[in-house]
Amino acid sequence: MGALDLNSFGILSLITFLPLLGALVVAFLPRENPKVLRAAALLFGLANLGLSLLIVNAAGTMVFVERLNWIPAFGVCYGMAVDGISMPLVILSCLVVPIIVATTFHVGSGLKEYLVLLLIMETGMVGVFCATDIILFYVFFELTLVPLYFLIGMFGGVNRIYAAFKFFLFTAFGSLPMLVAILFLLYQHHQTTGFWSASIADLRSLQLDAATQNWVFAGFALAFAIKVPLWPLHTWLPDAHVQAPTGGSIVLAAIMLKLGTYGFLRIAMPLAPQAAHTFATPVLVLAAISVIYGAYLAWAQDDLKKLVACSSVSHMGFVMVGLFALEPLAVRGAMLQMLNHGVSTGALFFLVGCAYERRHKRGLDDYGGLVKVSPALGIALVITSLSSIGLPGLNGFVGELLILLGAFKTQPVFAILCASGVLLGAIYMLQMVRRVCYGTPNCEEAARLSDMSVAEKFAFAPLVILMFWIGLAPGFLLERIGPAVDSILAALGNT
Amino acid sequence: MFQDIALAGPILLPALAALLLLGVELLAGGRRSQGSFLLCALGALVALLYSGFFLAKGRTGLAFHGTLNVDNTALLISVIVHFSALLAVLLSRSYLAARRDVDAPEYHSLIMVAASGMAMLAAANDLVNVFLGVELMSIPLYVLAAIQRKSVRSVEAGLKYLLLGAFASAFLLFGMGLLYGASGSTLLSALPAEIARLGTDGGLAAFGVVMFLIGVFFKVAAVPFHMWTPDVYEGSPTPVTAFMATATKAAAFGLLLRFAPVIATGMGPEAGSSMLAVIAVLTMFVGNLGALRQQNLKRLLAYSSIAHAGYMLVGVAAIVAEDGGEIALTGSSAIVFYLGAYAAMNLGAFGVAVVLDRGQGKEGVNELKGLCSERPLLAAVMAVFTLALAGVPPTAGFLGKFYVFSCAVQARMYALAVVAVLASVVGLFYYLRLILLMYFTPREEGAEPRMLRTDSFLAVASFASAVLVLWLGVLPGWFVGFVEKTVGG
Repeated sequence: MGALDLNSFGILSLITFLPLLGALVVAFLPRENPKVLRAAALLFGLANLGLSLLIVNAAGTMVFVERLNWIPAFGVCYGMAVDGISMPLVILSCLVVPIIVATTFHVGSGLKEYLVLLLIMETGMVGVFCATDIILFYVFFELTLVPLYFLIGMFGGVNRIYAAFKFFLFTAFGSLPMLVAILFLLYQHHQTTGFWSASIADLRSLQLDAATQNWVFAGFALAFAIKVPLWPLHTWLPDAHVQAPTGGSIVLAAIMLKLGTYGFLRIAMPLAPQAAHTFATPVLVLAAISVIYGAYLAWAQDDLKKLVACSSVSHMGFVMVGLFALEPLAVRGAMLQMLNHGVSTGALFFLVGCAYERRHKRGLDDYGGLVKVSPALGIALVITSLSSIGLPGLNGFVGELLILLGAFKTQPVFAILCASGVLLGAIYMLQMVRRVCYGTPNCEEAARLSDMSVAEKFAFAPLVILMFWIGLAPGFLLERIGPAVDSILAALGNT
Repeated sequence: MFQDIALAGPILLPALAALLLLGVELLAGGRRSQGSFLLCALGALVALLYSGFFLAKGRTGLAFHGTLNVDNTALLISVIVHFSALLAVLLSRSYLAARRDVDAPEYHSLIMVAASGMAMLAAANDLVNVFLGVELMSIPLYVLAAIQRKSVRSVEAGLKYLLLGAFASAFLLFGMGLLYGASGSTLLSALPAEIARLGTDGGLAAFGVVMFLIGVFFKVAAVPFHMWTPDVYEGSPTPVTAFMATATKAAAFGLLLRFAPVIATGMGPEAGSSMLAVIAVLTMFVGNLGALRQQNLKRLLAYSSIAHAGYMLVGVAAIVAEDGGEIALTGSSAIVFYLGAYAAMNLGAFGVAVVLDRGQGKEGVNELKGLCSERPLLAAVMAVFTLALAGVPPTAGFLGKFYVFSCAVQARMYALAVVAVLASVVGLFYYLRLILLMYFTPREEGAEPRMLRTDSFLAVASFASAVLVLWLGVLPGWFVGFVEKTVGG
């Protein structure tokens, strides 16, 4: 807890719903003046980022607790709180939004809708990480889906409609079995205790038998595995990423995919602890396949955006290995790696977007010599790629190291498989860097790309700072993540 | 006697309005008049407030020697019915104004008669009253479906509805006869005990229940008695379709809730709930799969309404499975909540259909193309209705589904809950398609600009529905609590 007592005034609700207010404000501003629209969105985004920094000291226990009756007939509450697991994700969500506002300079007539959707999206993202009530979690979980569906469908590339449709259907298909699992848990709680409750903490105290746990876990796992995405449920991701506008890709990579891994850690594993152990091996197999298959996919791509999208599959598989190694270090690493992936891959999509706006091509061979042509963009791309590979001193290294260290203790086979994924990651990323950033420009246009604008530099700077900060001083985050992870693992029956 | 009449207010008030309307139209000499529109809207509003007032004050009871049971469920359903009637009338104004082929001054009067029948059906506690209610509801609807006399489709719709509806009534009557034979009573509330007292009778009661249900299934458009729905919904004037889709469903499900104990005793809880579950599954899938390929917005909404009847039947199956348990309470309130939510979102969607139609019968889903850039607010409102119909949170549609499916889980019908959820996924396809057309697809190059006009009544109706859909979705506590309290009390 910080020096300020913030419990009393509902800081989490404020962070969650301020963007919604912002969306309303933007919706009523005149559409003719893009500067005003952008400034308003930026203002709300930055204000919210500032507010979100107030929760930075959340660690082992749930703090800033809010609880109001919502649907009393079912014991459903509006319950919000954060701990060391959700805090960094909330802040990352709040950070990403103002950054995306800076990528909207190329958005034409639909800017107003774009910003409104983005701000609604922020409400959903922050809400989902703060919710301590499973129905509220579900509602926010679905709420994130709708604005992103519109973002992709309205502002995406040529195949945007197909991609948006596929994205929505895949994720909605996953979340409906989750709904049945939730209903079942509520009913079980009512049966055993005699009263209705939808609070995750209450549901965790249920003693379900092994077979029931397996069903519950399966219901949740399908929803979250699609979101992660785990092989073979990943096929929506490349489509969605490639077709999405830059802002959509950033949100998708930085936050949306984390809903899957966060869901596993916060909901599926604690609610069905025995099943988490039972399912560990199958999940690890799929995760290892994701790591290696995703890396090979990325290696084969000639399209920058597709390459980054496929690398996401690989990296998120890595996070899943960390989670299901069920070992304190590995889970810490997984948690940290979720943030790292958010920062690095979000940054990669940002840069790919910058490059695309200038060149209007995304092929690896449409560039060349970027470091010479536009130094800031080139160097930023090099740093970000290195952070994504996991170069010591940058953020990716810490997460990967922790995951591997932990996984070697409990799941050596999978740890070795994943280590090969790291190697593959270096291969495809470095060959991308070689082809795009070094050498000579491939053609006239590639030699005349303008460099990053001041706004873009400002927007990108926090991401670079985070890469170095997490890489050099991971202690700050680990101190907060650690206790929260331990309390979840304690409930899983191993420490 | 006065007490009885006061309790029957939700039934008598619209009937009174209908008579007044006929008088007004007689004086107006058959000319179109603003007067009848306003009087009709006022009649529906008064009936709505009256039912709401009785509900809030808890003024319930048996009337006319127990043949009407005006309990809280009946009052809630009356509220939904009169709300639908009011909104349908508000939608009618611009629909009728834009087209010259409806020259029927009795239009408004018929709507009120139908509303009266629906309120009666919701409160009927006697087989005779059930039949009266069904006919009082159906006959005006047959006429309303065919009221565009010069339109072939409208006349076809009316004829189809009439012929099949007459069949359904015959089944219903047959079932009633058998049930009377099996129990010696016509009081719905007395039927279960009497059937049980007289013991086994070679399946007479079970057969009666099935025949009775066929009649009801026809009215709620449950598979395999749904065939009429797409044609009738497409051919009828759009506001009438909206009224039919929402209010008829509410009234018929009200009857079904009252009839559930009879199903459980007549057929046995096991057999009764299995039959209902099978019908529910078929209804959900036929509705959702049928909607996938529709190019006509009204037909699409017709199939969607079939699917929604299926979702609600899931709740009825759960109630019958655990006859008399706690679930009778949660199940009933779940279905009533669903009916209310469904009425709001469906009336809203039909309202948008009225705007797109603009008196020229433009009913293709392609009319939605580019709506977002032409009329952003209208598109946003339609998006809310569409997402609500699809069951996406935080809309009332999601909570309705949550509520009904949780009943299936409580009755341990897990497979049914999973199948219902899968059916909702199928539903996403065509609901998303509507959004896709509105937001992602511009109109064809060189298409003439459309004159999409909304009069203030229609705007109020759509806006009110949208607010209701979101309000019930975001802050459902009071309503759910209220429904639980009243349905239980």
